[in-house]
Amino acid sequence: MAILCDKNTKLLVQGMGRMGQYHAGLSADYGTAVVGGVAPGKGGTTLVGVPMFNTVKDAVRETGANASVIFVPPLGAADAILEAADAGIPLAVCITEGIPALDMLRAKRAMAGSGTRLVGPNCPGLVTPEQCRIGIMPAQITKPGSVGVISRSGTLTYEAVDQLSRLGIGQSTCIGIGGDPVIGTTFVDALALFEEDPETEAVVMIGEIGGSAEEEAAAFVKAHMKKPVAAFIAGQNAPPGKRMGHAGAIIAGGKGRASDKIAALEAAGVAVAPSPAEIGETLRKHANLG
Amino acid sequence: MFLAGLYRLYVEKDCSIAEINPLVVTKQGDLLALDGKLNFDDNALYRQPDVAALRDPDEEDPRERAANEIDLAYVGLDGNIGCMVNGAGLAMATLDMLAYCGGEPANFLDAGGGADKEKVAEAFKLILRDEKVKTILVNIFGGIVRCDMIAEGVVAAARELGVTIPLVVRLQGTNSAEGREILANSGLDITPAETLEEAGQKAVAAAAGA
Repeated sequence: MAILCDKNTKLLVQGMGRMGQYHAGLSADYGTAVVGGVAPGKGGTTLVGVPMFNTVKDAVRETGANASVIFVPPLGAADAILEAADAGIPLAVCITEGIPALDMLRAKRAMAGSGTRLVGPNCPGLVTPEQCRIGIMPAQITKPGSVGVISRSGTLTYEAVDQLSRLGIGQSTCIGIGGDPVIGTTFVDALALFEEDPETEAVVMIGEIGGSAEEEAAAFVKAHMKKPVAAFIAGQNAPPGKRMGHAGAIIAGGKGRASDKIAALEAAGVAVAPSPAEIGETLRKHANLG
Repeated sequence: MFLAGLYRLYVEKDCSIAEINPLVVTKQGDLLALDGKLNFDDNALYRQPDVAALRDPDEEDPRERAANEIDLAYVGLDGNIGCMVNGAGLAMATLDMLAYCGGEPANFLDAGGGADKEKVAEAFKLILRDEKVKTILVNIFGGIVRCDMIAEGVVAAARELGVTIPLVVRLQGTNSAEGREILANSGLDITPAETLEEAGQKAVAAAAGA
């Protein structure tokens, strides 16, 4: 069954520039129904085989789209998210990196209570193996199965998924929640979805330094999760006060350290991988898989 | 009143921190801000030209400043293994892997999701500017980035720059087989690695032996 996206997903692409077109093509090749693209002024035309619309509202009315992936550049991305929410799209996935934090804060507040779930921004998107690809992940490394994967990173997600697939452990859905300080779907939200999903048996979460999302996830696991959870926290050797690539990956004022996150997760019964090479193996042992 | 002003400053200037510390009450009952600190959101600098103009390059690590100019995410560290990785999460994990294997990374470097041949060459130059570097570890998980293109970039950069220190390269994901073939046929002394762990161990061994 998976979470958030499956073979019934009808995907729109907001922002059909070079990236948007390329990944629309890869998603369609993977079997995802890419039903339309949105770019003001392009309505009525066709781009790389995808019918174009001027607005998300037009596209939803004409195609029945139920998900949107956003490749709009940083300055317009928060507006694009709000446009998706305004059109009532149930799932908006924002890939864009570099959106000002205050723009995201306003967008997140504005869409609170709407029926739209936001994933990202600054994320690689989602893959439900052999069913649906939204975003930029290399879907060919995934394998259908029963492990949910949640991550703040892009390529480190691929690393973890690859480790699982090589061990013969398939995934229900892989979701990148994004490396920015203000994001839509959090670890806690995604953990709750996987806990409810009958086809997910265990979860891998990949966190990193900065913020307190992993500590909140640990509290949620302790209080609400019956399924086994394994984790890795990146940035154990990152110097304090330095932003490590992701806008949200910074140890500031002694807060956001990897050691605190690992301690919180272990106290909640989560198995934490000692090195990034052992993420798959740690889950396999902890969940008695394979 | 001053709190409303502090809030306005925070919002209008796209701060990530606006702090007054210490704030004292004088014997006369007046509030006095003795010190303050402002941090700004890098992603919003494009619309804060007056803030951007305050940047003082002399206050920055010269390696980090050079990286900034070519749009690479770089953080200088104290070790001797230079790192080039695609993606911030994997780049952090690579530092963790090296430390786990008993090595010391010289830097964090995220070449980005859209790394191309030129970026690879620039990244190599940047890593080699650091005289402490005894080994370079390239760790690429190809998603959007194609490993064959990275391999070509690594070979070209190693030739052009005349790299003499050990080079450990791990290519995984999109077109990794083609990439490994390019490395193997380059005639250069490049140590290939299959897994993240193998890459870490080989880089640490090379740095220890150098």
